[in-house]
Amino acid sequence: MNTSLMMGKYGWYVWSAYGVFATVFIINGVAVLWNNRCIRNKLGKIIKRQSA
Amino acid sequence: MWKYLYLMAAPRNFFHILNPKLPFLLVLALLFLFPGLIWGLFYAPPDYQQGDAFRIIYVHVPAAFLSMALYVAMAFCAVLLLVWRIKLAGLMQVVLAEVGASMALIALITGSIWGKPMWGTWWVWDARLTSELILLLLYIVILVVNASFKNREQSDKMLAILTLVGFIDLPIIHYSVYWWNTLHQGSTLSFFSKPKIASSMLYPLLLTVFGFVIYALWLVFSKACNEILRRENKQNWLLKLYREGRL
Repeated sequence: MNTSLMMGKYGWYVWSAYGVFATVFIINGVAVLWNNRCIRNKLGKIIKRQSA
Repeated sequence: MWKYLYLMAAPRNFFHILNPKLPFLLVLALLFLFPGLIWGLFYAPPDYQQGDAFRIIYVHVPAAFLSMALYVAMAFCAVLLLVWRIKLAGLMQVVLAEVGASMALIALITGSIWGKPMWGTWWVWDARLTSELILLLLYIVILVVNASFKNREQSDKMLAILTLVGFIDLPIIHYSVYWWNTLHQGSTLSFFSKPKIASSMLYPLLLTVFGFVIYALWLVFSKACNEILRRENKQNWLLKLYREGRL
C-alpha cells in the first residue's frame, strides 16, 4: 500500500485534482436531488389547488 | 433498435422506464468509483517517470473521455430533433450539455494541475488543451443560448444546429496529439489497440472510467426526468403517478 502520497512532493497536486473532481461530482449530485425535491413539492401544490 | 428509440421518444415512456432505475444506477456508479479511486490512489504502483503525480490520470482521463462522448450523444440528439422532430431530443441536448460542461471543466482543471509538476506550467496553448477549452466554451455557449430563448421549439432547433456545427471540434481534439507536436502525451487507452500502461495501473483506470460513465448516465437521466416533471406538470399521467405515490 502506498503511504507516501500524503507527504510526497506530488501529494498536493494529486489531492487538489481529486478535490476538484469530488467537488464537481458532489455539487452536481446534490443539485439534481434538490431540484427533484423542489419539483415534486411544486407538483404537490398543483394537485392541492386542483382538489380544493 | 428504432422501435425502442421510438418508444423512448415519448416523455411518458421515458419517465416510466428510467425513473425507477435511477437509484440503482447511482449505487452502481459508486460501486465502480470507490474501489477504482482507492485502488488508483493507494495500491497502483507509482510511475517510473512521473512518480505519484500520474495518479491524476484516474480522474482526468475518464472526465476527458466523457466530455467528448457526451458531445457525440448531443450531436445524435440534434440529428433526431432536426430529422425526426423528436421533442425529447431537444430536452436531452440541454441536460447532456450541462453534464458535458462539468466533465470538460474537470478534465481541464485536473489536466492543468497535472501539467504544473510535469511540464512546469499550468497552461500552454497546445493543440489538445486549446481544442478541449473550445469544447468547454461550446458547452457554455449552448447553455447560454438555451437560457436566452423563451420559445422552447426555436431554442431546441438553434441548439441542434449549433451542436452540429461544433461537432468539428471532436476529431480535432482526438487527433491533435497525432497531427501536431504537442506537449500533451498520446492516448493511453484506445478501442482498437493494446493499452500503453501496465495492467496494475490499467484496471483501476477501467473501474473509474466505468464509474464516471455510469455516474454521468445517472446525472443525465435524473436531470431529464426532472425536466419532464417540470415541463409536463399539468399532464394527467404525471398527476396520477404523484397521487399514487410513485414519483
